[in-house]
Amino acid sequence: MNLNTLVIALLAGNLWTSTGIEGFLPSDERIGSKSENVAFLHDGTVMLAPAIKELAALGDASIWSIAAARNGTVYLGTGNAGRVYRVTGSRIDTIFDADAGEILALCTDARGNVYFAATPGGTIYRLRPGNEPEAWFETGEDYVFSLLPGTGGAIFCATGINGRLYRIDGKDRGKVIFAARQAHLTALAWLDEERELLVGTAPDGIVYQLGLTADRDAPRLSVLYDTPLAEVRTLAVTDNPTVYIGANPDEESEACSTGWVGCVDMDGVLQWQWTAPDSTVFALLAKEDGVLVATGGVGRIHRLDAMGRATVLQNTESANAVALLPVSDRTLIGTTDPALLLALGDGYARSGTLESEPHDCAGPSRFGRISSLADVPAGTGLEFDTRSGNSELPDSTWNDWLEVTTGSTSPVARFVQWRARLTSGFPGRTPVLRRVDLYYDAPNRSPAISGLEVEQVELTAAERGNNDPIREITWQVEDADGDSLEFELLFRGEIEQRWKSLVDRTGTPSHELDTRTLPDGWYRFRLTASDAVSRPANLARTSELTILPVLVDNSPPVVSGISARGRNAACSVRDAHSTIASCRVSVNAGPWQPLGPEDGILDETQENFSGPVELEPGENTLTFWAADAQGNTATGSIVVNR
Amino acid sequence: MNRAQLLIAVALLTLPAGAVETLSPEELEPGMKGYGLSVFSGYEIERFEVEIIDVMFDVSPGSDMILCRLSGHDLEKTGIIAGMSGSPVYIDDKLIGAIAYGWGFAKEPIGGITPISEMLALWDIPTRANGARRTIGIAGGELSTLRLPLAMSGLNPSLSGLVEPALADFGLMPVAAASGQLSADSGLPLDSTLVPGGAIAVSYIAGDVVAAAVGTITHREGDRIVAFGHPMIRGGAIEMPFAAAKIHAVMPGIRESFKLFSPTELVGTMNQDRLPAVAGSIGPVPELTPVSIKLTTPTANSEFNYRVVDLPALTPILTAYGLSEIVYASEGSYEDMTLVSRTSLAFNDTCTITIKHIHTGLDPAAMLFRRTLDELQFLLGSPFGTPTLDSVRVELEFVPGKQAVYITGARPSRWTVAPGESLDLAVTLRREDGNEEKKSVLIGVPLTTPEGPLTVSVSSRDSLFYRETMRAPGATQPQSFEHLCRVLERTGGENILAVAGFSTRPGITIKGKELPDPPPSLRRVLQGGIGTESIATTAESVVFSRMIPLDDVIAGVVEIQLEVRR
Repeated sequence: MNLNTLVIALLAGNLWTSTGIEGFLPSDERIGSKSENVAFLHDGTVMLAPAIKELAALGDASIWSIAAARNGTVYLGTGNAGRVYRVTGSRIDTIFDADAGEILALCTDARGNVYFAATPGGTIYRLRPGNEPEAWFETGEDYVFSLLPGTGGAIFCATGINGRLYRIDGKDRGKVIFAARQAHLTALAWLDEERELLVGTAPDGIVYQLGLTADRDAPRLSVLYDTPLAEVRTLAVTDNPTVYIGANPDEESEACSTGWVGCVDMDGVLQWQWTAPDSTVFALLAKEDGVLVATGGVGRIHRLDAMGRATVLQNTESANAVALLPVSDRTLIGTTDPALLLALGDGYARSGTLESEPHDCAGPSRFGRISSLADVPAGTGLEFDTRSGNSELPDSTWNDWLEVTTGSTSPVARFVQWRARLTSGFPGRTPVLRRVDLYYDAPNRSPAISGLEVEQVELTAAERGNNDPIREITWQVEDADGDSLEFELLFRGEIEQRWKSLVDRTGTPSHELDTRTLPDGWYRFRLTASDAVSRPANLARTSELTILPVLVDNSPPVVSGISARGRNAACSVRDAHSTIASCRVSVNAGPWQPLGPEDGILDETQENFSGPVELEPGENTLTFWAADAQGNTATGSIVVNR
Repeated sequence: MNRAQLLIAVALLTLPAGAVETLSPEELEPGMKGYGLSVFSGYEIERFEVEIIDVMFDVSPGSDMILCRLSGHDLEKTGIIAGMSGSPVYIDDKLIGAIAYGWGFAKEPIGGITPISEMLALWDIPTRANGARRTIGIAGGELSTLRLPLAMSGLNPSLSGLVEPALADFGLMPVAAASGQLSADSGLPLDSTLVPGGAIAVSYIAGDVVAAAVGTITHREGDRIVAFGHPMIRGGAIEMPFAAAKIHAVMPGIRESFKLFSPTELVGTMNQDRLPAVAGSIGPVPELTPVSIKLTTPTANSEFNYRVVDLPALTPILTAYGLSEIVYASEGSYEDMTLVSRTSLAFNDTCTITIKHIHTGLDPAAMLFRRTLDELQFLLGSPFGTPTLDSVRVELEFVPGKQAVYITGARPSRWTVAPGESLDLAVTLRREDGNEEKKSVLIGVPLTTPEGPLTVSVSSRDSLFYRETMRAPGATQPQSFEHLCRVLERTGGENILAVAGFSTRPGITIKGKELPDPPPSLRRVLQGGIGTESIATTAESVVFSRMIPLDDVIAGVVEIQLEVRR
């Protein structure tokens, strides 16, 4: 059970409480819950998400890369047809079409030139203002992952599968300035522009730091941070400076199965790390108070604050959010499957909804009040709806959503779901939801007794004559409703008529019985369990369990027929209820010698024992000792002359 | 207009033109007697006798067949002769149709006549010149249509064994025709040959290599003719040149008899090839695909040229036949030889593909035939429309003797290697005489090679390509005609020793392009497109490849597994 979706059994009904990020955030949209335009904050509250707007929906599979010119024109690098688009206002033009492949890398420089690279093939193209794209530099590499302009006019180019970093100073003028032992250089970022360059790699997930000041062609190389994951996918650097690293595991070789973000300082010290709930981290965007993270698997935008605390900021409705770019007061988001260009604004969305996961009330239930703990500033609103049904997943058999404010409640059903509708008339205001309580009256189910045991004397103990007359009686009972339970333990002699109470109204699932308070004989025990302490008398339910008869025997056996003839000793042992467990003999207080039953098996309440003994010449004292199966013992003796 | 065409034009002016009187199948009765016309020797049109047996209506939807018994001209002995296809048959001097069907091993010369009305309907169907679509052609005539003798120059037994099965599917019967084209101005009586009953040869190959099918003209009106009474290859709207033909002899056969002939110069275009007949016009001759061959032998350099018809279903066979014919004619095939070929194919005015092969052994011409046939069929039968083959240029070089080695083993200087290191691979090559030699190949393991197993494949470049089709089918599955050309160019190189290394890291192919060992995030996104786009995975990724040209054809494949450790 999720600790943040508590179910509390009340005296008359149940309370289902949802709170905290785990209580609100749908764990899996397949189970019927969803959210739209709501953000899940690290402190467990829910509020309206930043407004998100779809700027373009492309027929391509992916928008891998986004760049913007100073005039506001946006360029999109896409896959799997290798196209580059120019977005000017609402107009979208295709400016390059490779027919197949991915445009993973795209950038603009200060002069308004646009650079993009085709993968596979490794050709870098340049689009000068007012011109058609031209092949600018041939890397000959399979992959070009990142293009980064420098203030000096050069373009730095991270490639794979030979792990080479190019510095390109002009058309057909480029050279390899760093070759890693890793196959892929996957990310580039300036730690200090034109002086210190960060390079992320795969498959080792290392962030290299390249010092460019001494020799532009042979950078000084050091490792800023070696992540525990296979791939450094993205890097972001703040002004202070702090380095954010987005990395991903290789599902082929690592136990960690989701993306990762680490915050590293200039000394390479990991200040904090965050494990993404989604499978892959694709892009980071440093902000004043933290970093935005675009993830894949679900296609979300997260915000991590300066302490690494995570807020689920928005859901893109695409499988993967892979690119982030700040443009004036908004953030552009590129997604895959489908390929959408989205704009995330600074203000809150005007409305948002959060649907809970369906709650199983365990049976047809009547639903009562829904209440919430929330801040609802003026100009904002928070309303709830509920719906109910008898299938685990909401479908056409479920009842329609009913507004809670109407006073109606959803019809009797086994499953129930609530929906919160958040609204705001002001971009700077939002309702904040902290907790939701839904009361329902589920049918009371009987306690389930799964066991009732009376402690028995073990045969090994009985053979040694150990009879502890105090026996512990224990039982196991569960209540599916979580009700508190009371128990009554009763007994009845096998030949008696009336059940007598041993203990009543106890909540402890055990009882110690001193069997000496009962005459020897066979007894039955019965346990009754009741949830009356949690339920009104008319709704309380009781269960009972009676077990097979148990023997109480505290009387010793009788040793008789003692004899010692020649070298043989013999006796007869008899008990009223229990089988005989063992018999021994001692000659002249010597060590005990076991005697075996004459019929070869200890299976009756009377057994004859005999066995050889070594008698000394003259008078001998023989002592016989016997025990029954309950550990009761008896002795007998004889004095004989040899 | 050349001299031959001028002569034809003059002849046309002297011919009677206009509609012919005909009888329909419904007007025929069993026992009616008439005659047919065909050439049995030289250019002379001769008469044979025909008796109507019965009419079979709707033998195929909308088509009838007139059953008849032929006599005269020793037809009782020879049976109906292949080459008589199209011979017009007249009852009461009215044209009823063309001899078109016969049955092999028949004891009597009983045949089938295609009604003339079905044949003349072809003149109303649009030709390519009138916008009809170019088709590939599917097959020849029906089971019992008379086969068309396809006279092929220099058809020796080896070549015959290769081309016969391929041509049989099209109802064509290759026969050796030693002579090439006859000159049109060497006493050819055009006014009496290109008329009903006259022999007509449809040309498949012209030039230094000749292949033409012979039949008979059924009817002519002005410059239009219909012939054969059955299809050639059901090519639909075709453009094939035709010529008159001189019949040298009738070759009696047990199964069937056929005419030995030689075509004249080309004098017109056959533009319809459909179920009831072929039809065309005397006049301009269509463009054919030029094939030029430069042949180098230890003793001489020669050049050959021929042209093949534009029939995507047949062009591959005809081109390959021409190539092999020239090889056989030049060097024969009865001793060990090595043949190096460099074939350049130009398509659609834009795309040129060059494929190099080296064949060695007893009959390299046969190897050349099969390889050329396969590659042209692959290209012309591509799923990306029917490309136009603009030209074929082939450079052939002969070296006496067999030049072949077999890869029998490969031993690395060490089995564990670090990224960035090199190692020697000693490849053992065994010659025909059993002698072995070691070829040392230096392998550089790239610095970025992932740790783990590294499979090293040693083979010819040609064999490596076929391994690649298994490893990365998405990369070798053509995505366009241009891509198909580039894929095909990766074949060949039988004398190039290919040493390639593969890691076990998975890769991705997108629309024919390969992304080896992509990083995890990229792989996850791209794999999400499997099923929705042309995306597939590969089980291995290429780490390195080395190509080392040798003088010999390389056979055999060896794979070893190294361990890469840092």
